[in-house]
Amino acid sequence: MKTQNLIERYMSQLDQYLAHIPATEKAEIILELNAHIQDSLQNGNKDVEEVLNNLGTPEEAARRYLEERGLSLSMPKLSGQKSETGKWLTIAFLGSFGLSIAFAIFIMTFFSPLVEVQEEEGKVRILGGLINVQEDMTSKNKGKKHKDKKIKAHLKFSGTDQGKEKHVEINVDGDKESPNIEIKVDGDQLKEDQIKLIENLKNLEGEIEGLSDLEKLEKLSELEGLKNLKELKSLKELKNLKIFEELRELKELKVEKESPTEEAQAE
Amino acid sequence: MVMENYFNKWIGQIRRGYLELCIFALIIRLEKTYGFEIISTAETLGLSIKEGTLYPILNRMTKEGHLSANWDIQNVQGHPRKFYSITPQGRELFGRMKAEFEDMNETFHKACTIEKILTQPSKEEEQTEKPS
Repeated sequence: MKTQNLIERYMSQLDQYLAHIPATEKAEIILELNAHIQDSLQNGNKDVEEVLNNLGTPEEAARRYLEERGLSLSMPKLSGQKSETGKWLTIAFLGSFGLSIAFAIFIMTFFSPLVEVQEEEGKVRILGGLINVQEDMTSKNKGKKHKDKKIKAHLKFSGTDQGKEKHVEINVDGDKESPNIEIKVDGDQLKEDQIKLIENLKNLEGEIEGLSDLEKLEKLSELEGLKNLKELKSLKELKNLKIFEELRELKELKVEKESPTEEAQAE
Repeated sequence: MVMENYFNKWIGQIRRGYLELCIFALIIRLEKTYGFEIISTAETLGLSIKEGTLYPILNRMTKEGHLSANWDIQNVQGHPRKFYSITPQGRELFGRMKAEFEDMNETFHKACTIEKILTQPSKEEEQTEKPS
C-alpha cells in the first residue's frame, strides 16, 4: 500500500510537470514508467524508493522528456499565487515605464529646442526660451569674429561726359555683410540728379540677366574704364550686386571708350 | 576539483551520443525489447543507463520514426509493456552512425600512436645559427 502511494504521488507530480505534452502521449509515458517500476520491483530486488530515485525527481524526469522535444519545463499549477504576484509586478513595471516615457516626451517637446543659438541677434535660447542669454555686443569675441570679415577696396576711373571730364571714385569699406560704398563724381558725393547714363552699362543690361553676382562683376570689369573692378573680383565674397546696383545708378554718366584714363589704387 | 569538473562536463558531452548509439545497437540485437530489458542487458555489459535518461530517448527516437513502439498486453505476464523495435529508417541511420563512430575511433587510435616526425631545420635557420 505504501509502495503504491509513493508511485501514485510520483506519477501525479510528473503529470503536472508534463503539462505541455498531449494527454495521450503523457498517459503512455506514465504507463511505461509504471511498467518499468513494476519490472524493477519484481526482478531487480530493489525497494520502491530506490527505483523512484533512479528515475530522478518528477521534475528531473519531466525535464528530460521535454528537452528531448525541444520544450522547456512548465511550472506546476501549485505555484499559482506566485505567478499572480508576477503578473501584477509586470503590470506595475510596464505602467511606470510607460508613464516615464510619456513624461520624457512632454519635457522634450515643451522645452525644445534645448539650446538655440541666434547668432545675428546675439542670443542663446535654452530650454525653449526658459532661459535667454543676450550676448554682450562689446565682447572681445564679437570683435574677433568680425575682424576677418573686413573688406576694403578703392577704385578710380574717369571718362568724359558731354565734353567735360568726369572722375568717378568708388570706395568700399567696412563689414563684408554690409559694406559702406561711397561713390564720388569729381570729388562730390554722388547725387541722383547728377548721375548720367553710362552707355556701356546700358548695353550690358540685356547681357547680364540671369548671371551670378560674380559673373556680373566680371562682365563689368571687361568694360574699359572699369578695369579696376577686377580688384573687387578677387574679393569673391563681397556683395557684388550691391556695387553693381550702385554703378547702375550712374545711368546718365557717359564714359568715352576712346580715351579712358585710369588711375588705380587698391589696398 | 577543477579536473573533476572538467571530467564531468566532458563525460556528459561524449556520453550522450555514445548512449544513443548503444541503445540502437541493443534494440537491433534484441530485436523486440522494452526499457527494463535494455537497462538490464546493458548492465551485464558494464554499461550503466539511467532510467531517467533511457525513456525520454526512446520516446524521441520513436517520435522521429527511428523506432516503432507497441504495447503488448496479452503475451506478457503481470502488466503491459511497451516494446520497441528498429524501423528501416532507424536501421539506415544506425548504419551511418556506426560507420562514423568506428572511423572516429580509428582516427583517435592513430592520434594516440602517431610517431613524431622530426622536421629538418630550414636553410635560413642554419645560416643564422652558423655565425653564432
